[in-house]
Amino acid sequence: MTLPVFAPGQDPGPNFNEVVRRLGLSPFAVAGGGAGPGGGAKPFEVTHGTTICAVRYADGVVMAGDRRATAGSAIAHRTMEKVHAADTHSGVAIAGAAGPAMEMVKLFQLQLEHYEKVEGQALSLEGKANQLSQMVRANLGMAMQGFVVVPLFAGYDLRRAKGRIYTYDPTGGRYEETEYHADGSGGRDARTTIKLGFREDMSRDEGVELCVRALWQAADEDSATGGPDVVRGIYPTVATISARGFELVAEAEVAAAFGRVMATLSSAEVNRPAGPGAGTGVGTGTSRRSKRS
Amino acid sequence: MGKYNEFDQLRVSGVQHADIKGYQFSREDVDARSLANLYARYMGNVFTHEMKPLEVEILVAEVGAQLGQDQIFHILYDGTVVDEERFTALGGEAEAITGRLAQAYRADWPLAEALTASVNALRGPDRPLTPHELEVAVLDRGNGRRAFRRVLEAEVTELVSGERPKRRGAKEGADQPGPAAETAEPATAGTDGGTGTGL
Repeated sequence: MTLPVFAPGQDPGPNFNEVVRRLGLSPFAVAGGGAGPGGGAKPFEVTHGTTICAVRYADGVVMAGDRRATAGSAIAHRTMEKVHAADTHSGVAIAGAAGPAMEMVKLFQLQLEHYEKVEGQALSLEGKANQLSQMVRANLGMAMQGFVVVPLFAGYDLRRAKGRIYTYDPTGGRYEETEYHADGSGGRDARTTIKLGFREDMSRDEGVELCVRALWQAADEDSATGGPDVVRGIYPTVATISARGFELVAEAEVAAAFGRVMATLSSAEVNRPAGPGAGTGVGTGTSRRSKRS
Repeated sequence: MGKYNEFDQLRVSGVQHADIKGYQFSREDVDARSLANLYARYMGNVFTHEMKPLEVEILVAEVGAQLGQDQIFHILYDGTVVDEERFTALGGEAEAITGRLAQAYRADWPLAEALTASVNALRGPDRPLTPHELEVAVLDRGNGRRAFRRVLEAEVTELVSGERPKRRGAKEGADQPGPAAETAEPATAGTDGGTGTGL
């Protein structure tokens, strides 16, 4: 290796993506050619990561993601981490093709850090969100071939003293959400759950529990989303981002939140009518399961 | 330290090199020795082949995973590398400052003590130096992903005055106000960059 010394007019400055590109190491350069939009059979099953969500609470944002990665209908990994610290006060969660997604997270983390090292101060939260947008757009060629990456970005805006959430579409479109968002194959189910349970200025515990509940509901409806794995002790990744920075929620705390969610869910199940025609049995304690057995 | 445009370009190059290396291989593979070698090679090359040598001196520091694995390299304008032990000073009055540091130095001292001693060494007997005039950073091996951490003015004031020594001393002996100092301006305990590795 040699020291990368650029001529004054050619220096990429704080843009790490550009440094990577100049040195011929860009991961996005492999795209292009191949099948057109949605065209052609894929030569292999790609590993996919799925459901992720972010919810604003009183002190900032809670982010969560399930741990399952799938390749076609097979489970590829049980312990994938989809929620990552982007820097001290922001986090990025990913859904979509796992390979390019993890690469994008790695590059994004480096980009933010690189900028700070070269410029002496961190990017604004909006600047970070726009950077990620450009990276998603750079992946468009791959997205057209089926390797779609959809990140979710959230952070604590130190200048405005509030948590903010940004969502993306595969073309790099960037949208700011005011309250919450969920993405990935179980995103719709998670979003509905959050919509029903969301309140302004929730406490941290309420925020964590709402995310956990949303992921449980997503896992209940979507085969690509993993639920809590009590046997192996695998629980979703949950993190909070507040003025104190990005902090992972301890696994024991997530497990406890799951315990509470499951307790309310099973009592709801027990008290629910067994289906059409059984509507008269509300609250009689007639279990759906016992009727079927 | 030295001529601003020259050392800033070298500083940015060092950051680019370290980040590229961390991206291409692993962050664990980024080390002070290889960066010091690259600087030495580049500066030596300029010294022999160009119209004028680079008017800079560079300090590259690294904290290892354990105490005793730390490195400090001092690179001169002609590409000479000096492997420093314990502490070093660059720039104007470097020898006087080093002398004062040698008298105060104690292995395994806490950050507050190291910083106070460094500030005293830097200013000498007859020159006041307020926290506002200082730029301080530490390489802390317990700092997580990045060992480099800027010590902001409020904390510097607290550490130097010893008013509220609530912060348990640094795990890393701050050899100089900025052991991560890659380029330090003579007048200040300047630190910059963060190429100091252990990134």
